[in-house]
Amino acid sequence: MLAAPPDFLALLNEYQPLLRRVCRLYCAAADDQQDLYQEIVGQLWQAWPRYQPRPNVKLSTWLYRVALNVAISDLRQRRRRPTSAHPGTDRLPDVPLPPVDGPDADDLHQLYQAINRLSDVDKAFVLLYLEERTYEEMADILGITQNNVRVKMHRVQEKLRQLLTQPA
Amino acid sequence: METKQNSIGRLRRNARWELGFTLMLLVGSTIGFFYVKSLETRTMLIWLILISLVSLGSYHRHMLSGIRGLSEVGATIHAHVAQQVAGIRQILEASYRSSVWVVFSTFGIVLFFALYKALTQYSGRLLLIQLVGVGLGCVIAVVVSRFTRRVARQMLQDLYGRHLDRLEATLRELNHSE
Repeated sequence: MLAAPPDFLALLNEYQPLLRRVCRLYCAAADDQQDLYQEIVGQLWQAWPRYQPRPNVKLSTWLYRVALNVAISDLRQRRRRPTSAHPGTDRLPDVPLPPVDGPDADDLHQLYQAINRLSDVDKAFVLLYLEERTYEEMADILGITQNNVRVKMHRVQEKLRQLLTQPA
Repeated sequence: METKQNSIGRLRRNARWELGFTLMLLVGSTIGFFYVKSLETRTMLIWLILISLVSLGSYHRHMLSGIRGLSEVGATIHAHVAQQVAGIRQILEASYRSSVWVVFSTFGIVLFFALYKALTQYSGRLLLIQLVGVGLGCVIAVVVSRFTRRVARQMLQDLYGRHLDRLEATLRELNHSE
């Protein structure tokens, strides 16, 4: 089995919370989240040698692209199986999701439920908004213009507001 | 060890198996061609070599380029989804065409040899019976070809159709904001 290069592992350690948040947004069940996480890591591992840094473009932009592309394009095709074929990912530490408790737990749970009812594309908008990405970065991740990001973002916020006010 | 593969991984694995089989067929037919003496068998082997070459040149090339396009996950979401839709369409088209082409060429070989045998070995009433047999064979070939087309379309729809529909919906949604 191939060993992951140290810079890849460092990247993974640094951005693991980000990847976990993507998984959490796109999958409700913990097993599915873990499956998606492994799939994203596998795709990152394969794409990492081709990654080329560009001026004024953050590494996180590329990571969001990979994670969201995997989540959107392969989600319902996944079948649960015990182990991973991706080199190096079997040995990666299994970090549990951050617990959702405390005084805001109910609100957060309600928010996740509402987000869960959005389309895959809308979820991507919500995620990037919650992650406090700029419109410029969102446009760079999604591949649409900043103006369109603004329009779409407004619609998604409206949709989410309606979902939060109406009973599930 | 059990392995986990995503849909693209499975597509790639299947394409590699098909490619391996075609290469084996090509090598086997070419070796066989130099060993056998019968004209009939040699012509049959030429057919097989031709089918393998056409498959390698067209079907596998389209298939692999389609799959290669699906693997680029570092692109923007719009570009990635558009590429997925185009790649899967390309794969579906290649699979569908190859299914039809294999049935068509198989019947072609069989009927060609039946006709060749009838014309060179029979005469009079026996020739007429043979020709009627070839004619019936042609009718069966048309029926089976149509059936294969329908089955191939249904099978591909079951395998990739839903995934493709979902990706197209995602792409429409991204375009809708434009």
